[in-house]
Amino acid sequence: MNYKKLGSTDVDVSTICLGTMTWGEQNSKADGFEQMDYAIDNGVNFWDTAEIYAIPMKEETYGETENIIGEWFKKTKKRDKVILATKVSGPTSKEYIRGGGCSYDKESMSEALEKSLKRMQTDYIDLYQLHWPERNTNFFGQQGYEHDSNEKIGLLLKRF
Amino acid sequence: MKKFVDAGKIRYVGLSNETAWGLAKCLELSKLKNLPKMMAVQNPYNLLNRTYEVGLAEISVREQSGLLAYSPLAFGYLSGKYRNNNMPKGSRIDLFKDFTRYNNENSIKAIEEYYKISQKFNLDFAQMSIKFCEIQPFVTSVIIGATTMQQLKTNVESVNVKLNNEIINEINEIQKIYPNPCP
Repeated sequence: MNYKKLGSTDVDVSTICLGTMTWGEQNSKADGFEQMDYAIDNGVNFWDTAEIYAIPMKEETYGETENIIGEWFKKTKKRDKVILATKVSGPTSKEYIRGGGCSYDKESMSEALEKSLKRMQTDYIDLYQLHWPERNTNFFGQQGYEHDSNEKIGLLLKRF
Repeated sequence: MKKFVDAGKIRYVGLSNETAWGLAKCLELSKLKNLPKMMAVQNPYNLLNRTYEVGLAEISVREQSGLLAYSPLAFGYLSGKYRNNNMPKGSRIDLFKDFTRYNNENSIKAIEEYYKISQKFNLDFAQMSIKFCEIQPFVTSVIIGATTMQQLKTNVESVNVKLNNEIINEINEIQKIYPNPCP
């Protein structure tokens, strides 16, 4: 395996990162466990998940991937071997995620973080990512930026 | 977020599905106000979508906030498994018909050309596709997603593949003919 520093930190992450979004949908818990065992044994120390996984997003499988990871940590006691990345959901039409329309405000992020920690049976996340911008911009394949002159962009600073 | 970092619940923060403006603005704000720095950007990057190279790549290198490349195989299209209208049972595209991001006229043509390069140089197509992402200086890590142990093994072992300049040049020639067919 190859390793690089995560940003300007001194943390070494494998240049292959274990994706997890199929666990709880296309893959079972047992499959997930087998993948995590293989990853650790082969130097893949960087794992990425999200509160909204498994994919496709569904109420029944929301949080399921993080649950599977948490059960593996509990079973193996190997939390400290992993650089764990997850993501907080941005604004969405899905009401089962904090009533829908959630933003990256303090209350919503605090709730999301505590629940991710609990599902993954850990007390810290190595890399916490904002899953998609909460402002009007291009992502998920959208081309062409359309400006909304009424949007409140001043919020960005408060998100830190 | 600073509160969570100070409390020890988060070590580092990052962005995902971001634009160059979003990353640059966040980096600026954290410098100005002494707030947590975005240490990574998780965006799509693969042979069918190299749009990250246009604006974000420079910021990633200069500011040390690297790309975590997702969809390096473009939902599996860059493993070749959907070539010639194949639809393997239980595969993502078979199960979820509305995952159409990587299926269009030009992407199908581009996939064929990239596949030919992998065959010419005796490479596994999936491994060539992943390795191309891994060797980019602006990339920190490539996020793979396997549904079988064989896929996982193939993906992880891509780190051992070597792509010489001749292969890279041929890949870049195809990108010129079909630039970013799935942005």
